[in-house]
Order: sequence, then C-alpha cells, then structure tokens
Amino acid sequence: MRQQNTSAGAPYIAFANVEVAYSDFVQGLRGVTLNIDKGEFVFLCGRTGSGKSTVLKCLSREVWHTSGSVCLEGRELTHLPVKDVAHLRRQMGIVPQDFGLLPNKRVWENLGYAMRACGRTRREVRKLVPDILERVNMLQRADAFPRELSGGEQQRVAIGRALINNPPLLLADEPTGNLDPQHSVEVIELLQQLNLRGTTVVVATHDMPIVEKFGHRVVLLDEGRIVTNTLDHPDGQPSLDGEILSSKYQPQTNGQDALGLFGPIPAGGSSDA
Amino acid sequence: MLDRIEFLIGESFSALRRNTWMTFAAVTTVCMAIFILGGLGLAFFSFRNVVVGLGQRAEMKVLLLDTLPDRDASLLQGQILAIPGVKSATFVPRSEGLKQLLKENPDIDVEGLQIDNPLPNAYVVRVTELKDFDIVADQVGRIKGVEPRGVKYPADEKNFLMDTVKVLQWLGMALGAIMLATSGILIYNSIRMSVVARRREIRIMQLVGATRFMVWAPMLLEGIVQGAIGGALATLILWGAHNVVQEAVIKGLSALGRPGVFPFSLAFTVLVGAGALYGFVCSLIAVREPLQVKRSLAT
Repeated sequence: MRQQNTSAGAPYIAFANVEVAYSDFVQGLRGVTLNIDKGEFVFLCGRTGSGKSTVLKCLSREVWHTSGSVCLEGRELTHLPVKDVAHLRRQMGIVPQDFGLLPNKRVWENLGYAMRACGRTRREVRKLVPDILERVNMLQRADAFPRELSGGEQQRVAIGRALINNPPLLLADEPTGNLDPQHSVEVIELLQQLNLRGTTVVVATHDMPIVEKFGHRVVLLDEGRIVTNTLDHPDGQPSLDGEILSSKYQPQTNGQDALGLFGPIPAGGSSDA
Repeated sequence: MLDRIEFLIGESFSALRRNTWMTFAAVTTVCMAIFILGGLGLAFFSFRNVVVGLGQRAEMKVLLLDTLPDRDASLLQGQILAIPGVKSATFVPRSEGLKQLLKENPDIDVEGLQIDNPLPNAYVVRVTELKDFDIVADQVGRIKGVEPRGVKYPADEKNFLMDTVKVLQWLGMALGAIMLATSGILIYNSIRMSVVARRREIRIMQLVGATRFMVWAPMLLEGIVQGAIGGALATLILWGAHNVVQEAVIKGLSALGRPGVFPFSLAFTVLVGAGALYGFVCSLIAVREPLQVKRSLAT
C-alpha cells in the first residue's frame, strides 16, 4: 500500500467544518472536517444520502458549501469565481457513476471530444489518446462504441477521460455502482495503479466488499457527518478490521453489504445525494 | 486557434442537423419577420419618397387682395420666402393668371362675358415637404395683403397621403414586432432544445473543465447561423417582391414615378447582419440560464 504523506505542511484537501444545505429542510453536509494528503487513496463510504457525493461535489464546485471552508492544495475554494471553475476542474479528474460516455462516438473519440472541448488540437489528440488508453488498458478497444463494451470497460474509458488533463487528483463517484464484483475489482485496481503513480484518489462508494478488500483509508459518513475516519484510529491503521466500524455496525454475510451499513438494498440500485 | 474554431463550427452544425425541424421553423419565422420588417420598411421609404416628391411638385395658391397695388403685391415675395418650409414663391400677376386659366380651360369665353379680368394677383408657393403645407398655409394667410381664406391647396389629398405614410409606418412596426417576438421565441426554443439534446456533451465538457466559452459558443453560433440564414432568405424574397412590384408600377402606376433600384448588396448586408445579431441575442438568453454555474444550488 502506498504510504500517505502526512508530514508537516497544509493537507492537499482540507474541509473545515463544512456545511451544505440544499434547502431549509435538506442538509447535505453538517460540519464535516476532513484532511486528505497528497498521494492518498481514500474511500468515502456511507448510505445513500449520507453526503459522500456532496463531499466530491464541493471539491469540483458542482455544489457551493453554505459555511466552513474547503481548501485544495492550500487554495481556499469558498470564494472561487465562477469563471475559474473550469480551470479548477482541469486540475482534477472526475469519474461519474454512469460513465457519461457519448454513445455515438467511439472510445478514442470520447476521449478526443473531451480533449478538444478543453482546447487541445487534433494533433495533440492523436498523440495523447493512445497513451491514455494504454494506461487504462483499453487501447485494443479504441475503435469500439460504448454499447459494445462491458460495464468495466466503459468505466475504464470514463477513467481514461478523467486523465486527459493529467490531473493530480481523481474523484470517482460510485465507480463500481453499476458493475459486477469482478469488474469492480478491476476498476479499483486501475485506480490503485494511478494512485501508485502519485495521483490522489478519492472514491465515493457503498461497495463494502471492495472497501474491505483494498484496505485503504475509509471515511464513513452518515446524515452529512463523518462518523468514522480510519486515520483517527489510535494505531493509525487504515483498516476496517478494527473495532471502529464493527462496534458501530453489525457485520452481515450477504456479500454486498458485509458490514451491514445500509440495511436491505432496495431493488433497482440506488443513487447518492 | 483554427483547430478550436473548426471544433466549434462542427459542434454548432451538428446541433443544427440534430434539430432540423426546429431549425427550419426558427429560420423561416426569422425570415418572415425580417421580410415583413424589411419589406414594409422599404415600402415606407419608397412611399415616403413619392410623397416627398409630390410635396415638392404640389402647389399652394395664395390669392391677394384686389385692393393691393401691383407694386406692393410683388413685394410680398420676400415675406413668403422667409417662412420656414417654403421652397419657392412665384408671383403670378392677374393677367398671367387669366392666360393660364384660359390655357387650361379653353372653353371659357371671357370676351363673351364682357367683364374685366376677375382674377386677383396671386403667388404660387411650393413647400419642401408635404407635411409643411398646413403650417405654411397658416402663416401665409396671416400676411397683410393676402385675401382672407385666400390660401388654396389640396388639403384632402395631402391628408390622405400623410395618413397612408403613418399607417404604413405603424403597420410595419406592429407586424414586424409581432413577427420578431415570434421568431425570437422560436430561436430561444430551438436553442433550448439544443441544450437538452446536447446535455451529455455539455455535461462532459463541464466535467473535464471546458471553459464557459467552449460550452456556450456552439449554441451561440447556432443562433447566429439561424438568424443569418433567415436574413439572407428574407433579402432574396424581398428582392423578388420588389421586382414584382416594380413591374406592376411600371405597367399601371407610372404616374407615381419609377420605383428605385433594389439595393441588393446593402439590403443583404444589413438584413443578414440584423438576423445574425438577433439570433445571437436570443440564443444568449436561451443559453445563459440552463448553463450557468449555479452558486445558489446549495443555499
């Protein structure tokens, strides 16, 4: 496992008492304080509506927090002008749960389109797209349409698209939400490889078997609050095997929800806040 | 730079292709709006030119008192010319007036009537514009030596022409405004549909950090193209209509004078430019709301 940089200096991502109110009655986050260092791999876990996606959206400025402060690389995002949001998003790769691929474009065109939208030339597209597809192990399927790909492959393309700006930070919102266990492992392994190369990875998920399998740092949210942060464990061991989670939640043995965090999973899947 | 322009143009034309029928509706309505505005504008200015021409040709007859000596009568010319709006004032002595009368009405037998020349001395006054007739007539009528109610001019005809100009002006503005509003709504709708149709692309652009310009520009271009095509079509229709009207005028209404040549280059430039500008404004309104980053999402 990659060693996280917890040495002195400002954390890479810093949430300080962040609150997000979607309306008078719907609270996204309630006083979240969270630090993530450069090069870390963090799982944000929690039930649907617990606020894990809101944390990611606060970082990508899809949501403006109501109070508190959000800093990225020491830069306060609270008063970030709207015109600077595009520049901010080029410093991060965003992987949505639904892949967000254009169905009428081939794999390489999906990446090329995103690059052209960011102002890259056709020559740059021709040069960079094969490299990126190679990194996500999709070069051999470059000419395929999204409908011809498996869920795992589509997610790889989405991850590849998130890498077009070579970002130091990758935000993945439920990247395994639509995948079977085997493809889920493949996708997280891919994210882990990127992490090993220095990319900070923050993954929002409720896929607990995956979280357990990879054993990275886990931040558990519930109703907009952080209830558990494995970095806070006295031993500093980012593990789910300790007493932290098991004391709060009764483990179950039904596969997807091994820790029993979420109760019965409703039919048709779920979406997050 | 060229690469970026090519990308934006490609995006906007793919959107135009995607919304074919909405684009068709928007373009044709813009075309009709500009045609009506341009056509009635052209008709207004042409008719106004005719009216101005008629005004310059129309005459006002100012009859002088019989008691006014001929020498004093000829001195009134300076006073009449000093009135604003008067183009010319020609003194017509009673003898000359009689000659003209007999020339125009050869059946009159003055000698048979055995009376002296019954006509007074007069002035023939021309004004610069038809609309000035009433004011000029009023002021000329106040000059000492002019016969009471001795200023004669075709008031009814003048009023009819002036009313027609006004009707054309208001009709053009009202119809044009209605058509402009309709076409604006159609452009707005077509761009909104474009936003909906391209929501996947827009989302991806926003996710990967495309600038607002890159996200908006294809749709703004789409509106500009719709407006410009509408303007170009309107110019062609206007040109055709002008030729038809010209033929009709030459055949049947030559008394009004020959209509002017259609200023094709000028009309094309102005109408295409106006259409493009209008399309740009409508699409900007349509794009602003759904695509702006909403700071207030979390309130």
